[in-house]
Amino acid sequence: MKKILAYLLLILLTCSCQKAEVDIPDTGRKLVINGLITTDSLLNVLISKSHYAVGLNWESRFYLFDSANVSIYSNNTFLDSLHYWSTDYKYYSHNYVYPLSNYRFGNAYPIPGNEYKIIVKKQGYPDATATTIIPRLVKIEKVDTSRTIVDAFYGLTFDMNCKIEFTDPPGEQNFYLINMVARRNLTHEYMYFESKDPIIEEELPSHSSRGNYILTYGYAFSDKLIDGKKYSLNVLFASNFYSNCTIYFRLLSITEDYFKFIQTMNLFNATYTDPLSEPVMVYSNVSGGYGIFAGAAVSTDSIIFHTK
Amino acid sequence: MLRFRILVVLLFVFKTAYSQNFTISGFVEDVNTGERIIGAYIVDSISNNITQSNSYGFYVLKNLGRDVSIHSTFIGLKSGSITLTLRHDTAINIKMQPAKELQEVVVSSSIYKRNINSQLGYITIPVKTLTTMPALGEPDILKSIQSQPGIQGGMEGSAGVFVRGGSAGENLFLLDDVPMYNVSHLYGFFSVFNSNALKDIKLYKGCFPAIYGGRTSSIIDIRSLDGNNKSLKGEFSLGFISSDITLEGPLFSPKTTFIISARRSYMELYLDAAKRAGLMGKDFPNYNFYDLNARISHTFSQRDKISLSFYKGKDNIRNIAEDNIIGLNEITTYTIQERSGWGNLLGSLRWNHTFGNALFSNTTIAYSKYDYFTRNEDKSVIQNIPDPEIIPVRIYNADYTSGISDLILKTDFDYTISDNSKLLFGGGLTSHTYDPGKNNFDLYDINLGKDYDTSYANNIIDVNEYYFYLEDRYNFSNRLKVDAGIRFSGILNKQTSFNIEPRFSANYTIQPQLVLKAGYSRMIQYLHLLSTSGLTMPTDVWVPAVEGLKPLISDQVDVGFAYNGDNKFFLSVEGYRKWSANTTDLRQGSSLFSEFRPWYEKTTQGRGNAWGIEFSFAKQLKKLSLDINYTFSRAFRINPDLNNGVRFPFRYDRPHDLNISLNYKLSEKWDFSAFWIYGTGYPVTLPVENYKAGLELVNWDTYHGGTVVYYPSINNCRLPAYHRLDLGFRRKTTNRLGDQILSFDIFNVYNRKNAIRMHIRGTSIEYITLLPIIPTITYTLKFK
Repeated sequence: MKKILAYLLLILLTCSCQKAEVDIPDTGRKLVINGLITTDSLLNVLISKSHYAVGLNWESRFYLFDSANVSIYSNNTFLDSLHYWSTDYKYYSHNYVYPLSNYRFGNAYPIPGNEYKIIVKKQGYPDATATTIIPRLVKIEKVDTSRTIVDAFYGLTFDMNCKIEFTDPPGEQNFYLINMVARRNLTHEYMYFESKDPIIEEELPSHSSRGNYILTYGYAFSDKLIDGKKYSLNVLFASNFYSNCTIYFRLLSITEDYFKFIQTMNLFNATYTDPLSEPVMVYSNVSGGYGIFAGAAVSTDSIIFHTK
Repeated sequence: MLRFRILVVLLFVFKTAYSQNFTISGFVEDVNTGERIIGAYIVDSISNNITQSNSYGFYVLKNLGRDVSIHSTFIGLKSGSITLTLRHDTAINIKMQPAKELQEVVVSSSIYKRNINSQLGYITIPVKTLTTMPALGEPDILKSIQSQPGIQGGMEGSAGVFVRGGSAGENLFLLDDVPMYNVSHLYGFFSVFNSNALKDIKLYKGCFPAIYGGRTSSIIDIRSLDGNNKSLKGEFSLGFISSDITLEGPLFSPKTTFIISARRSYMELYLDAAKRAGLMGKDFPNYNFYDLNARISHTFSQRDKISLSFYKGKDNIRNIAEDNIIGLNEITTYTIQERSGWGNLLGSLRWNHTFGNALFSNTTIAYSKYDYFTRNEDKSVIQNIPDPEIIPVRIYNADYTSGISDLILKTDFDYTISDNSKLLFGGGLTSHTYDPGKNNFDLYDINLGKDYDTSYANNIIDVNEYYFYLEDRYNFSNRLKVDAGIRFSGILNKQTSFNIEPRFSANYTIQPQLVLKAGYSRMIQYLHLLSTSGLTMPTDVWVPAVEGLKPLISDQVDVGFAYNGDNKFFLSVEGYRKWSANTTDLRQGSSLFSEFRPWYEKTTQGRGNAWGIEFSFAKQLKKLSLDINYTFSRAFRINPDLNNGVRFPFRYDRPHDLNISLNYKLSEKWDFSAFWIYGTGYPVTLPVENYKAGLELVNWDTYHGGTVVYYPSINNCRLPAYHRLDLGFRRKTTNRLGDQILSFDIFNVYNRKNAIRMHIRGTSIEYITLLPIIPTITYTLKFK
């Protein structure tokens, strides 16, 4: 009787989930274009290829091309071919991360209002194409700074308050991204800063945190609350992190494609480990391949920040 | 060949009539139990008038001549005829007897339930046939429903039914006119309906009569027994997973009857034994479910009867893990306790009243509630030796609750205008109270020195839903029958809505054996069921069509025919096309539990369309019955916020669905049954490629290195095909105690590993399967 009971229990109650391994067909790889072309940088993109979904872990490196044919057009006129210049990986925050680009164009900066089209060809892969129009430049009109008194936590004190003033063009849909760069001697680094303004829609989180607080590199927002208005964006940063630096405030007027990419990318990152969440399809504007090719017009202002 | 016999009792004479158009009305009852019989046919063979008893056993035959010869037919009951000479309108209660002859024939879900004149999209499932299907221990309504054409059971471990491209929340289960929101125990393995207490099951999946509404895919109208008014009887069933007992009989007098039926599982006994024997981990949760049906009915007179019904069912999961760490001077005890529970509570009071001899009414006041809770408690205490005082160090509680409750008032009238026209009308009001989810967290930590108490709660929402309807069932001739109705419905909230739902169906008899049918119906649903990852679970949340969500609307067109091959076989073919507006899905990345946003910010609405063709074939021999149901169907969704606005397959899109059931009477004592199901695998969303999507600042400095998984579209892959064979053997004997039935059932005979979920693991795709081969033994005693 004991044996019967044990048998029944085993098959009925402890069977739980059984797994069966089955292969799925591999339909081939595609080209990946990642490029944010900005008016303050030479035109550059990262060209890689996709990886079969099966047999990958997060540490896997993606293959970066050095022999792809990358053509760039401006307002439907052939501009030039982009040239391979680097495939170096970087070791950062305990992970290998990509260079931001491996192909660049040596003597042209994107111009606001122009349409740029990229065509990437590589034998054995479908052609990948994408188009973007550089948005009109929205200038930073003024930056005011003041020091505030706030509670410190985990050694972090966001005590420097900056107001970045700009005017949104009326009657059109605009999207923005704000970030800050600190230059000390010859090095640049993206700054951690904070903004709690109501217009903020997306954060650009870093991998770094203090307790449960994730440090943020930038913020993205649309003009749905400020259409056609002058606005002062409040940002806070920790003065003790960035003493004796030149601090650059960068207001990027970005395309809707790029804004959608940020939205879906954030959603993907927030939910991809949750088995109960609905899957997220990260936005892509590349036909024949994957990735994002977007433009931004950058307005920059700076302060020199000395601490006694 | 059925033979008929009627025992007629003349109870009352209402009035004297001198015309030649007489009316006979009354109730159809089982002579042995006094149960009123639903759906019995009553025929006057002289005038050829025919009618059917309604959901309360009431019938009316109008425009009869002075001489009548009454026949009555119903599955498993003897019927016959009696000739009368009428002098006035008369009330006759027709009493039918069980037919012994029928015991020689396999009573199955076969031809008996089929009537070529029944309307499209309508199926009746005789309760007696539930025992003829192999089951996981006990007869199961849901399994029978899921075997019908056009209806699927979803994935194993998923509760509910999926009808003609609709989701689980689009089906209305009515138990004695009261909606029931959760219809299964143990994640869909058992239905909440205890078959011992049931009398009748009707299912509508198209051509909906105007009396029904509130859901867009199906109506499952289940009626429970009134209780035997002749003698005390009962039934006891002992199964491997659960047991049940039913008692019924008269209470003080034959006018008052009761029935009470209770069921409980005892898996926790096995689980505890297995844990003690080391067969499974101590942290494996304990589980049990129970349900209780009770009903008291009192017949005041031929005209008035009241019934008081009660149902309560509950599923409980509990897990406790404890660990002690003994130090030099203290003992620290860590306890983790997790509890979840869900269930229904229903109560109703119904009053049947007959006005004159042709107008019948039913008025119901009812309450229905479904709730779900989960509670996690994480506690650590310390005891300093030898001090007996126990000091709490850290106590963390997390609760989640959700649910819905309804208060219902409705009244329905059934008026027979003439021998070829019947008018149905009525209305109702339901006050819904929605609790779409509430999270509470509280923390006491001795090191923090204070309590933290946080809640994330969706507002409780009260919405009143109303309807009224009018429907005429008209026979233009012996060949053409039309059922036309209109239903008006809406909600009374901050904004009052008013909608019209037209209904129409027609049957045309080409030959006595062949009937062509067609129909159209619009259904409107004022509530939505939000599900997690497409799985239908007890955690699903009902929300109202408010806060920006629009009511779900479906328009369905049906055409088909039914052919009766001289009672030797039955063939039915039905085609349908359904358009749905305002289908509700979770937005991408949303989760019911993982994020604390209001439900209306997590949802998005789109459109759906579905079409299919359903074949139903039944063959009846003396010892063998065979049912084959095959459906080819497709179902899609379009939502501007999902899948880049491109159409994608509905998560329960199953092009091919085949069910074969067979019953064979091996001997006087032994029956054999088999059931085989085959279905195309359900769609799932799987990534096919990964790529690097890093740009300056975006996704660059993330701990997974900026890798994105690429889903080409929603539901881009399919699980492997689902198929399964179940077998059952039943031995029936009779002794002085009563009828004894010993059932041996084997679920999933060839141990098919049917997938319920897929995911990528390493270098392959893995399928998670749930139910292996499961043999069960059940003993049932129907005592006298």
